[in-house]
Parts: sequence; structure tokens; C-alpha cells
Amino acid sequence: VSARGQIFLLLWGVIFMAIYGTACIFVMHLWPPPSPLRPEDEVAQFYLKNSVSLRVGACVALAVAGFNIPIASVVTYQMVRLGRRVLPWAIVHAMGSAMMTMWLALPPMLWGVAAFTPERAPALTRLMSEFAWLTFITSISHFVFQACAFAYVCLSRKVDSPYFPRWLGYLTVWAFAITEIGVFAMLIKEGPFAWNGLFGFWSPVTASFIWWYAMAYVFVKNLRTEAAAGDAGDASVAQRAEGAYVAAR
Amino acid sequence: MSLHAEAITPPGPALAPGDHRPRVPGEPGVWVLILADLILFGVFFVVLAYYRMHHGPEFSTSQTVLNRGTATANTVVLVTSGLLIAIAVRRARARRDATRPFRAGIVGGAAFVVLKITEYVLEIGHGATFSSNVFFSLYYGYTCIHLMHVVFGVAVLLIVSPSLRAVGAGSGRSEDLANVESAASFWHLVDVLWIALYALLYLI
Repeated sequence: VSARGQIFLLLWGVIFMAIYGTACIFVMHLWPPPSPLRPEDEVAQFYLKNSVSLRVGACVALAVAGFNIPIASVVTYQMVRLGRRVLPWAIVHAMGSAMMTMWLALPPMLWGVAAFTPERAPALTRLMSEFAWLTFITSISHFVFQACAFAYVCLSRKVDSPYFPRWLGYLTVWAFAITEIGVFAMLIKEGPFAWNGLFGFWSPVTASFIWWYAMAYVFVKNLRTEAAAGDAGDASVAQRAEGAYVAAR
Repeated sequence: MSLHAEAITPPGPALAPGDHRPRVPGEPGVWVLILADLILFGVFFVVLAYYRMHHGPEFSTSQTVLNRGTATANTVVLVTSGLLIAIAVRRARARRDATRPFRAGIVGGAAFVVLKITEYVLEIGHGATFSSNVFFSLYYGYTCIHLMHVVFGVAVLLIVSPSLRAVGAGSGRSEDLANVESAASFWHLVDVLWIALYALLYLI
């Protein structure tokens, strides 16, 4: 894959991510997140009143929910370029990222289902709504592999690649830790750890976006450098990213 | 193309014994993590103050359930551990063997984990759980996140142990000392955060 091809993949993912957020916020009216303490009649009313926009938004979000795949593909490819020793980490990263996509697609699907027949018993609509919100906030089981593999490669002393700077490794650890806090939303319905709270929703979402965009920035910047160097016939930039893993200290 | 190991990390200034030139301990990147973590916990403390303002009586009643004795013991354990790690780093900078205080510091970290889990069991036994009220959700949330920091910190200290031995044996490189200093810097962050949590959750 050429450097420009990889930039295309990254931008594809970033644009889809932006569309995903836009669909959730502006079309489905899920911003700010509602309180988990809402009575079931109020929940049912929300889905009844916004049935069409929720389903349209769900269609849009489902169409773009795989945004993690092109981004992670480029990252995985760059890991593979580092050398055979990094291959297991690249596989962990690829599998974690692919599975993470399922957790990003499930909430819009569930919001859409909740809005599909909103005149049903309110308790059932609330069940589906809670399922959607808790899936969105607490589904950290596969992100852990994407983040840890990425952080490991960045922080390994044996890796010297401009695509994996150490500061990005530390940022990954920090963003990962903040995102993990969201899992507490399963335990409580009010306060900062609830799914609409500062630590349940706002910090994890903000940290995730900071991380994704920081990673995309580093990759696009280096890929542009590599593409420009390739145009000028300078192979040293590409060589630096190839096999930049030293097996023995 | 495979790069030679020496080309990976710039050697940095020579750290001869007695060299007191001002510099950042560890590698600069780790301070990004430390600063970001301090900001996160700073937000934690502001949120705690906000809820204390609005739930004052509930906070006072809930605090009586906490096991202050175990928390005080844990504070002593963690501060002592921090001191031992500081002693170890000082010895490592002088290219002396620092294995003993370093190991003792790690044991202190492990002891903190055991004591904290014991404290959780006692408090849950008294019916105080994460969802009991806002105070307990903050208490369990904050201390659990801090506990994860301790576990992570102990793991990092164990990971850099070979670097410490290499430095003590005189065969270490500048990056080995940077590894040890980075881990120790994070460990001191864990210390500082606990002292603040101890004061805010148990004493005030």
C-alpha cells in the first residue's frame, strides 16, 4: 500500500468517525446523554417522539460505524513493517480493533430497535435503551487489546519508528485508563460515574477522540513525509519505518 | 533495514557519580503521563468538593463506615515504599547496588494492594457498596482507580528491575537509568495521589 493510499484509509476512518458522532448528536438527539434515572414513561416518550429521526440516525451511524477498521488497518500495517518480532502485537492490535467495531455498531442498532416500535410496553423500550447506553459506555473488552498493543509498540525501547513515538504511547496509556473508567457506569445510576456523568461519559468520550485524532495526526504527518520523500526519490524515510525493531540490545 | 541498538535512544548526558546538573528525571515523555494524570485527579478532587458541598451530612455519616486504621496503615506503607524507591534511585545514580531498597519498595506496593482489598471486604461487609450513595460511589471509584495505578506501578517497577541491576553493576546505559527514574517518578505520583485521597476521603 502506498503512503497516499494509507492517508486515504486514515481520512476515510476519521471522516466516518465524524459522521458517526454527527448522526448520534444531531440526528438521533442523544446529546447530552439522558439520565439513567429517567422513568420508563419518559424514556418511551422520547423514542415515540423521535422515532423517525432515531431510525434515520441509526441507519447513518450503522453505515459508518466501522470507522475503526481503516484506521486500525494502517496502524497494523505499520506495525507489520517494523519486523517479524512485532507481528504478534500487530495481530493483537488488528483483532482488538476489528472486534471493537462491533461494540461501536451495536448501540445505534439498539437505539434504532428501541425506536422501531416505540408504542410497545414502556418497560421494554427502557430495557432496550439501557442496553444501548450501557453497551456504548461500558464495552471496553476489546479496546484494551487495541490500546495495549499500540502503547507497547510505542513504548518499546526496541522500536524506533516515527509512526510510534513514545509520547503517543504515554498518551495511549492515559486515554485507555480514562476510557476504562466508563465501566463503572454499570454499577450506578447517578453521580459522576453514571452513564451521563463526567467520568462515565464525558471524560472517556473526550479522551477517546483526543487519542484517535492524535494518532491520525501522527500517521498522516509521517505518511505525507514518506510520500513526499518517495516523490523526490529519497528512500531513507521509508527505510526508517521498515524493520525498525531491534531484536537484540 | 535493521538499526543498531545504540541508535535507538540518544545516549544523553553522561551521568557520572556526583553529577548534579539540572535535568528532568527519567524520560520527558513520562511526564506527559504524570501531568495528564494529575489533571485527571485534580478534576476528581474538584468533583468531590462539589458533591461534598451538596451532600455534607451524607458524606459525614458515610465516612464513619470507612476503616481509618487500615487506611492510615496503608498511607505509612506507601510513603515508606516511596522513600525506599527514592533511596534506590539515589544509589542507582551513584552506580551503586540498589536492589534491596528497590525490592522492599515493590513489596510495600504489593502490601498496599492486599491491605486495600482487605479494607474493601470489611466495608462491603458493613453494607457500603459502590451504589450505596454518592460518597461511596466516589470513594470506591477514586480508590479503585488509584489501586489500578498501584498495580500498574508495581508492574512497571518489576519490569525496570533488570535495568536497575544493570546500572548497579556498572553495565547499564543511560536509558537504563532513565527507565528506573521514569518508573520511580510514576511511583511517587501514586504516593502523592494517595496522600491527597487519604486526606480528602478519610480525614476531612
